[in-house]
Amino acid sequence: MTRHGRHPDDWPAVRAAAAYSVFAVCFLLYARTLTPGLSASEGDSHELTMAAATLGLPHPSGYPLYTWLAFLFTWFPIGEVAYRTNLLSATLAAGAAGLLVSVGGRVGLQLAPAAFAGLVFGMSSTLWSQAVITEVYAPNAFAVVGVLALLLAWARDPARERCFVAFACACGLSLGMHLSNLSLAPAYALFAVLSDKRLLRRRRMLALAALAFVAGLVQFAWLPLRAETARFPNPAPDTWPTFFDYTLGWVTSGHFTVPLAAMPGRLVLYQRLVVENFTAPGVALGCLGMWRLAWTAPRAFWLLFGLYATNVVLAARVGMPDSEVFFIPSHAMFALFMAFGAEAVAAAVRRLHAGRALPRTLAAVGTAALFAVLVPFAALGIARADRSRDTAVGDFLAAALAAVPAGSELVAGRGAFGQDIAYWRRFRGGRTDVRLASVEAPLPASDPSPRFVKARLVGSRLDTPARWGLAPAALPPDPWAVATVAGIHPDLVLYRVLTVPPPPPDSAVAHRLDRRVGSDTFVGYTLAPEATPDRRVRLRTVWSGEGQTPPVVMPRIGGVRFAAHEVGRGNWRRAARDGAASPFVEEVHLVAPSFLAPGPHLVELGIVDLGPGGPSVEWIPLGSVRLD
Amino acid sequence: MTEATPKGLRRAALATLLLGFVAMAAANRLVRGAALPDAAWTPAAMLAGLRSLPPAGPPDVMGIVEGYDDGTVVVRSPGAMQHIRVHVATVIAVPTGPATLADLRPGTTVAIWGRRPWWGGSLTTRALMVLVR
Repeated sequence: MTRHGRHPDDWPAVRAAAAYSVFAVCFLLYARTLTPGLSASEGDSHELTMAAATLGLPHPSGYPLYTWLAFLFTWFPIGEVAYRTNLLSATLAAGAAGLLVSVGGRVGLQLAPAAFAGLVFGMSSTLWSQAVITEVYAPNAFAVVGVLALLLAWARDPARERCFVAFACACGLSLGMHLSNLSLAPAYALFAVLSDKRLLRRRRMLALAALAFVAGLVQFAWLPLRAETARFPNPAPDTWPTFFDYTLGWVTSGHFTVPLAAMPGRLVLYQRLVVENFTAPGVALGCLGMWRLAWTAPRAFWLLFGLYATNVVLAARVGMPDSEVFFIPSHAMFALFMAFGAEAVAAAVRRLHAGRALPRTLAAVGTAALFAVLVPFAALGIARADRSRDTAVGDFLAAALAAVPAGSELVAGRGAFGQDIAYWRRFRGGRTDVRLASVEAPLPASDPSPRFVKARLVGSRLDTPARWGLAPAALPPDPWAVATVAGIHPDLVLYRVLTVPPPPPDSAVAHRLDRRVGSDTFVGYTLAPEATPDRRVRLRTVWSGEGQTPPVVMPRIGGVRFAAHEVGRGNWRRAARDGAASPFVEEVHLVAPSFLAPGPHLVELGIVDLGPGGPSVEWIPLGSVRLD
Repeated sequence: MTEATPKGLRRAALATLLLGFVAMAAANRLVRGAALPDAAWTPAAMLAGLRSLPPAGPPDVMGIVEGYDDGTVVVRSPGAMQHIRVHVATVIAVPTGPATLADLRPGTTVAIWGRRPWWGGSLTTRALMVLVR
């Protein structure tokens, strides 16, 4: 029973309608901002998409349940395969938000605050960022909230063995979404004991629950069955030691690497993250809600706060650049705390009204105000999380694979970061005449076949093989890398690999400018008026200068910016070091985004001045190019 | 939820919550102004630990310089998965000494300390450090 003397599930149909409404609102927001294909911002998502489509093994811990669900989504007859796996994230993130309404009711929230909690969680920036790409974190939010809902369903009537067994089975299954869910077990156990004092004496139920939990874990037998699909640098999990390394060993040694001494700094980062997700007033409301929950419903407090604190502490110890996604389960709990905070405010208003029932108008206005604040919250979320124009990877791969001649070898990362090209060749582009060094055995470096590499350049050198998984045997030592095709992000550059310095390209230009740029000169450029059918815009720029430091430029097509880069993409510095003569010619095909409408578009070159007063950009119009 | 809970459970809950608030406040206090030896000013150390750094705790954003506007740099943060536009107020240092705005070349990794408004809008930079050139 609630503290108001009536059960929140008195109107289960109304509560279900509220949960479905929250699901629908969140799903529409996610669908509006969903990535249409491969995401440019998350390398792991390419691997997860490939693993789902081919029923292979992604990186540790293998994520069997996630892989199977994503596989089912790949059969949806809508969009490309990557879009369908993105849709799984959107569906389950919205499902988590909807399910949180039910959880809110079971811990004593009124209908409106429970719906508020679901919407706030659904619109929180970290969850939203994961709901629009292929990743495990949004689906895992659904798993965490689902397990919680089952536990609370059992707690309403602890005599119902089936509920507890279902909860235990869901616990085991949820580990196939993310193994870190195991850390939430102590909070579940404490709540279960508090809910049923005789729990430890109910041996039959506990035995059945243990069996159900193990049944949920059986999914991990998938790992040795598909061990041959494990990718670099992970060993195939086909023996007990490698199986352990792939699962529990990887989670414990690979994730929680932040030393305890660094925890204060990490907790400060968490505080900033929670403000970023819920705004400062929202955080204050959440803190108030925690206090109210501890005061009015301590048993529920121990469950929700236990899950929250465990997740915050463990996620704070995750030493990865994108560690913020590990906090998503705690954000679900915090959204519930905010809803309790809203109830505390309403209770305070009631007290000010001398305990009399609030006039209906005042209550309606308060409820409307609660939901009205979500409108700018949603607008901010759309501005932050919109990935609907994230077509850069697909655009680049289509153009790059069209640009390489027959019989070429294409070198890319062998691990998670090389799966974009493998995906494209399998599901979109064909080009089986191009050898993929990330999939097939690389040709020896002495082989005369044309060789290209997709990698990031550091200084004038290709990035180290260790970081990106480039096959060391596929590249000659210290090769020359000449950029030939460039997408809008710095990682999306295709370099032609040469063992000797490239021959000087044609330095003739159609448009001569002779514009001074610092100590160098922008001599002129040639721009082809028509893009290729795969939207490559052919641009040659000619520069002269003797300095070691190249100018910084930033192309723009139809108002869409490309990443800034140093002229020559590393080769200016190398040529200057080797004493090569000026002028310097950069001849690159720029990949125009597919969301630009067919027709003429202005091409500009931004010349960046990194002066003492801060950066300034001079945009030089180069002419118009027609896109098909 | 039933209200038939022992008083001890409530007291323990309130005490734990209080302890949590104190821990968060203490974390803020501890990182403020804490300095680290030079060896820790590396991206590896930062990404692994995001330890305390001047001027006030860990940086708000770490990322790679990808673009420019007049008076601003565009930093791509792997965590935030979005381009973050920051106003350059001060470039405080490179790992080996003072830095200038000219050190903000494309592809450099930077750590940024800033101020974000309460509604969670764009970060305004208070300090910036170039970690890798």
